[in-house]
Amino acid sequence: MENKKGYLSTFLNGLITENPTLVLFLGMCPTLAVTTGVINGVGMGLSTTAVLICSNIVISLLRKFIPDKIRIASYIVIIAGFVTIVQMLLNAYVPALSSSLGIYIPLIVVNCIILGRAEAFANKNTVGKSALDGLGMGLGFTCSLCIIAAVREILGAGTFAGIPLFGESFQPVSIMILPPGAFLTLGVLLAVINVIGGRIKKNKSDDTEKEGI
Amino acid sequence: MDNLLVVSHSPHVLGKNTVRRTMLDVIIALIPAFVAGILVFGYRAAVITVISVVSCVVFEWLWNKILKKPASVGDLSAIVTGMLLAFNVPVTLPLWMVVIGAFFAIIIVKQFFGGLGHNFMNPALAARAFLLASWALAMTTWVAPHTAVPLWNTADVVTSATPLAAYAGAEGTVTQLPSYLDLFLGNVGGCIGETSALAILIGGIYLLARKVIKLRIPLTYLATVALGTWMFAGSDGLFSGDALYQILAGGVMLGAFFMATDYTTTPYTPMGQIIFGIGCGVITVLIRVWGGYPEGCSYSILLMNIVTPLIDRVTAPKRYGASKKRKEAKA
Amino acid sequence: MKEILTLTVKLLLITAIVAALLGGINMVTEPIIAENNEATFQANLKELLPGAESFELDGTKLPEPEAGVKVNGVYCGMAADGTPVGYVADAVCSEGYGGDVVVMTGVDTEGKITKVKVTEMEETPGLGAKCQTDWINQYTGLTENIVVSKNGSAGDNPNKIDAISGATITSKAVTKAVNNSVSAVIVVINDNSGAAPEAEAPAEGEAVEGEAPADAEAVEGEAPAEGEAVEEGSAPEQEEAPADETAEIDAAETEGGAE
Repeated sequence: MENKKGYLSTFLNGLITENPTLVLFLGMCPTLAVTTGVINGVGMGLSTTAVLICSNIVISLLRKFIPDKIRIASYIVIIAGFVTIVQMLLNAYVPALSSSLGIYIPLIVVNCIILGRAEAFANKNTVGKSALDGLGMGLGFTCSLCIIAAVREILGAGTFAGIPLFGESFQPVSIMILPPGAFLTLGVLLAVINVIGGRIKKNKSDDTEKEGI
Repeated sequence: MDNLLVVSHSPHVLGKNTVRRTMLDVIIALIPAFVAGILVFGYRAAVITVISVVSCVVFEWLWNKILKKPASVGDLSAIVTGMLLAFNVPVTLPLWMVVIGAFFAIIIVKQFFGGLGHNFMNPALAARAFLLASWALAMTTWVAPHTAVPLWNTADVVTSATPLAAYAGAEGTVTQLPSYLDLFLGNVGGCIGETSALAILIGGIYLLARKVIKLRIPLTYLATVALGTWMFAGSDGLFSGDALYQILAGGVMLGAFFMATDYTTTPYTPMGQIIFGIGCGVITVLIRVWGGYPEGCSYSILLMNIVTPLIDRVTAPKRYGASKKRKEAKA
Repeated sequence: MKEILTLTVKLLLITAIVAALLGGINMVTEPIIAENNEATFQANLKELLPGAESFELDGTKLPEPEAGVKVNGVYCGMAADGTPVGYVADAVCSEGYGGDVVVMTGVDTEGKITKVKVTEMEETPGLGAKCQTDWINQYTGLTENIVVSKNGSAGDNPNKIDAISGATITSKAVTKAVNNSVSAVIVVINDNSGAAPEAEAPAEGEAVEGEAPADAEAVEGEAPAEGEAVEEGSAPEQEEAPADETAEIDAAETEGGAE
């Protein structure tokens, strides 16, 4: 039972409590650049998740083998290897997605989420938990990408996943599709989350006070 | 500025300066430009201004209400922002875009950062930049003066180039440049409040007389723009630019007197203000002569707003004796 | 010493395994990727030149392009019986807003554009990216020296396209690629038909923005026009071009002249 709880909380940790984009502030570059459309956001998020899970598993497997002094170099080699594999597979089997994500696929290598989780979690935990951590973090990343991409695409292009939502007369807010829109959306989202998070924490601490702890 | 130098004991007499009084002066100073806008562009200019002001006031009131802050609408700053925002858009702008601009100016630029006195850039100009990036076509639909513009569906009006675009020889413009008198009175195309140099001057003189603004920033700004455009904006090589035309055309008059002088977003030291004015002027000339836009005034002020904290730090008056103490400490 | 050896061996092991894995996957995916690219390319070629069944890279030496643009190749499109239907030029212009813009232009044997397609670009969605929508159809029917018109600035010039609203840089980049493509094709046409292009006469005004090209085949982009529509009388020669396959084109506008 203890292990099961550990697994679930690891997964939820990556998804919500320590969401890489909105709480840990990792992976900002792809978050801001790739969220011009929901399809791009999902594609990027899932590719990153795939790489994250694979690299977490491998690094966790090798955690006793890799000496401390060369660990960063080894992690980078392993991560770069997986990213290149993902890139080649995308290029071969889903070329449309690959060309619209463009340079951001190879940039997954330097996405701090992957190296960060390798360093902070995978080299200290079992393979199972590392895999779940990878899954949770990756999905958390994908969710936040989707939220931001949805806002930007709906407001900035009037479509959702390429499907037009409004009629001919809708004048999209072009700035949302441009980089300033990314910053604005992210900023407002973070503000909202902070306010809600603050209220939840306040309620929790009020509750614990009431219980006399 | 919270730290006032107290030089005598109490009792003190309360001066008449309040935020509300200052804002009221600015509103009064903007009235000539408002009237000029209506005379040149018709009743729709008044509609835009009213909608902008009302939206700004409503948004500010809503913000204070929802977040349970003390009501700040009474300080009239929202009205000033509303008027300035309206004066910075073309008369053909769809009304709902004006409302969104007001939202951006009040909620995001001003209130998100702490309200009056804490905004880091001029809200009206930031909103104008936001609108320009969001709906470029609507924000650059200029009409000739005295053209009838319908209240809705303004996309079909006959457009005409602004004086600055005509000067730059942009494609599709008339070769006949407006006369100095036209520029001075405001009988030209452009944003609602920026065309009439005369009206703005009247307002500016009022503000100077009421000691709301100092001459430093407007003077250095306009002088730099004049000098720079004289040197570089001519078509016959160096020193052939029409400086008078460049000052009277576009938004520099409005910017120099009403937006580059905003207390919160400009330096507070005299030397800092001069640097600010010159900086605005340099950037405006750069954008007008070599940049991709015909008008660079709003961006120049926004950029200098961002640099203002740095200017303040560099030009802060040195405390008496401070440098001696530092030298002794090092020794 | 032992430590350094251990570190080196372990790092070597990790790198070698990863490299082997990559090599393996590459071997599997490389042919697929090449096939995909080739299939897309062929599909594009056919799309731009309807009626052509097969394509062959033309070996004519192409003229020096302007700065910022490069014509990668001109492909001769032939019908099933081998007669040339037209040409497709593949060009890339580096002056797009977000980088390179790769444009394929289909030109018929008379130097008129059949279709244009932007195959690769990194322009802003909603603005420059509109070059991949129906906007591109403006080019159909035009010929060399197309002018980019902003808010009607080109006046009555029929050889013009309207710039994308708010995306003039993209519009100009695409047009530059197209213009250079059409010029290259015209050189190929002349070369293939054996006619030596006339040397550029300096007295004739070269078409510049805002002036109508005196090209004998300048036609209106929208309405199907016959004959030659020549706007300003700047070009002294206005020969009627025979509408057969070996179209001789008034070489006053041939860029690059005789190589």
